[in-house]
Amino acid sequence: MRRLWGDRGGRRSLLFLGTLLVLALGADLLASDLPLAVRLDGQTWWLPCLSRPVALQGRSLADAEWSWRTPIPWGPLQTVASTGEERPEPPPWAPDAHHWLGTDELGRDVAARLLHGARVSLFVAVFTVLISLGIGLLIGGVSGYAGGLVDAVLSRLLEVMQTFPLVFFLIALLSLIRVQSLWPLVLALALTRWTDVARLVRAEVLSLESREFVLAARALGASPARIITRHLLPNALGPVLVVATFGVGSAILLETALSFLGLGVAPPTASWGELLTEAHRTLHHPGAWWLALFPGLAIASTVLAVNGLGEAVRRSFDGRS
Amino acid sequence: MRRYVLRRLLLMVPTFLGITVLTFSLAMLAPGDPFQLDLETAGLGAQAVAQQRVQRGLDAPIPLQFGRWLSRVVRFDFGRSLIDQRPVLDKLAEALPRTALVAGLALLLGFGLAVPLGVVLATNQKRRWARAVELLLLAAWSVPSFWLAVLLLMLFAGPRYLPLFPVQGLADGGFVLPVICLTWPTLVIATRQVRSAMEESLCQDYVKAARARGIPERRVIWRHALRNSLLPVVTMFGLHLPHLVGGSVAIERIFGIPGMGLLAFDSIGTRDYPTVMGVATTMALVTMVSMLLVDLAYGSIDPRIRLERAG
Repeated sequence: MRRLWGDRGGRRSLLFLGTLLVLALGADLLASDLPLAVRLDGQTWWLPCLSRPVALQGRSLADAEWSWRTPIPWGPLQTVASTGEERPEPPPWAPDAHHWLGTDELGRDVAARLLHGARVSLFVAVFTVLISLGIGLLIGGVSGYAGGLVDAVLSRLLEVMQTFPLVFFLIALLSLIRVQSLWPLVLALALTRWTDVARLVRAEVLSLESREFVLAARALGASPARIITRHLLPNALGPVLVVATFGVGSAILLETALSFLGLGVAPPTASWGELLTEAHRTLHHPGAWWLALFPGLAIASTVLAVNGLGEAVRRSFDGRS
Repeated sequence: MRRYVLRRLLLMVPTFLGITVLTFSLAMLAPGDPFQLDLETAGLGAQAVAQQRVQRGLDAPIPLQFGRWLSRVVRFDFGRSLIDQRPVLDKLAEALPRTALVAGLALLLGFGLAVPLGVVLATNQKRRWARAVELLLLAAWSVPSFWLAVLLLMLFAGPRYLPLFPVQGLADGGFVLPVICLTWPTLVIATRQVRSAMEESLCQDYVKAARARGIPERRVIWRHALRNSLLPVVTMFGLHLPHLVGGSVAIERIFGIPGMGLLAFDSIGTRDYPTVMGVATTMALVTMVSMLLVDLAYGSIDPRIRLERAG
């Protein structure tokens, strides 16, 4: 970690991703239809944007004695109908002082949707990689260590997964499990993304297995489970971390593509992929450039930072060996 | 050589079976079937639906259905679509050339440009412009090709800016934008691969030896070093094909190209099992054959590789 911080590219990526994480986690405090604090009917509410009290639902903030709005005073799902904004022309509206990054066709604020979408997209990407890492480590480790028939069967499984166009697999899997939550999406993505990790871990295990320290551990009577978890996996960690970091980037991109195919996060929820899809849907509004530009920039800069981090991780492990 | 090819072809059988079993069970496990959709839309009676199912053999247990399907496929009979009753083979014959045109062009362009670009980058590492190009590549790698497609459509096909190309379809130069979108990621990944492979070979002893013998630098780079860097690039070529096919689903959908990707997507959506299986089988065959060709190419690139023993 310290080595990463010492690396210029690594530090820049870490700073960017850290900021993004804070923004994404704090999305409710930064962009919400409810204020940070409000005094209404002689009662003071603190952070209603987080707790969303029933008493405030449907109340107009114009009646409040005072209120402290979030920096972006729009919720991600607020349409023109619910904000009651009146303008001569129908949305989408170009960026202006009210809507910093413009609105979409329904009058939803793009900045608010981007912030809330960041949370969804990052959640999907990070958990996809964590789960696929688990599957990959398990299958790759077992396959490399056990060898023989187990290895032959698992290798064939790997080959099937690699030969098969994964998007087909995802389409089929996601139309199979259509639930309005993020976990099925995460699971489906993880089920297709473990192959890189598994292949790598298997190769690493095969090359480490005959090294002296492993032979020594075996001679001392260590169990296979102990050898795998204490000796082999920690030593294979470097390249695996590199692959995992790059995996976050491609998971973000994959989520985008899936959203476009209508298989990602269910529509009203904002995710970066959903925002880009929205942009494509509104292509018939020629000149609504803000709809395509900002989500695309958000995705590209995040993936760039993740990939930069991956390069930095690679450099720091190269330096060690 | 012949024995090696034969062995590899035999090894394809379990992989092929694995893929088809996987697709078949996934397709079958997905809720609903085309007749159920009919029932909802056309108001067909439940009895008529059941009758249809029996007629098309959808009432049989899944393993039995798979057996029937397999026994027909080995005779090159992919059955008929459950939706429009057309032979699946006809549909495939229509869709495959379109995807092959777009994806093939993208593959050729991507790798064709990546080799010289990667070599130039590797040999000019210290130059400032090479570093700039490198950064640009890293940035380009992060751009979703899907976003690129939307931007290109807005700029070059939308009525507002420069309406050079049609919004939908392949005619009238409509293949240009999708080819760009598919070439993009291929080019970026391949260039990075060529560059790093070249950097490695340029440090090798045989390059020093070739230089010491007074062979012109250009020849050293383009003959001696490049030839030895091509192996990982060729490997990538084979592994990249499934990705390209996957990427073409979204691209074909955006640009309205009725190719394999769109056929797959639509047939899965409508639970048109014979078509789903036809597409999956074709794609699996294409990928497996191209992987075999890649392995065969190893031998001619690097004569040290003996295929017979390595197999």
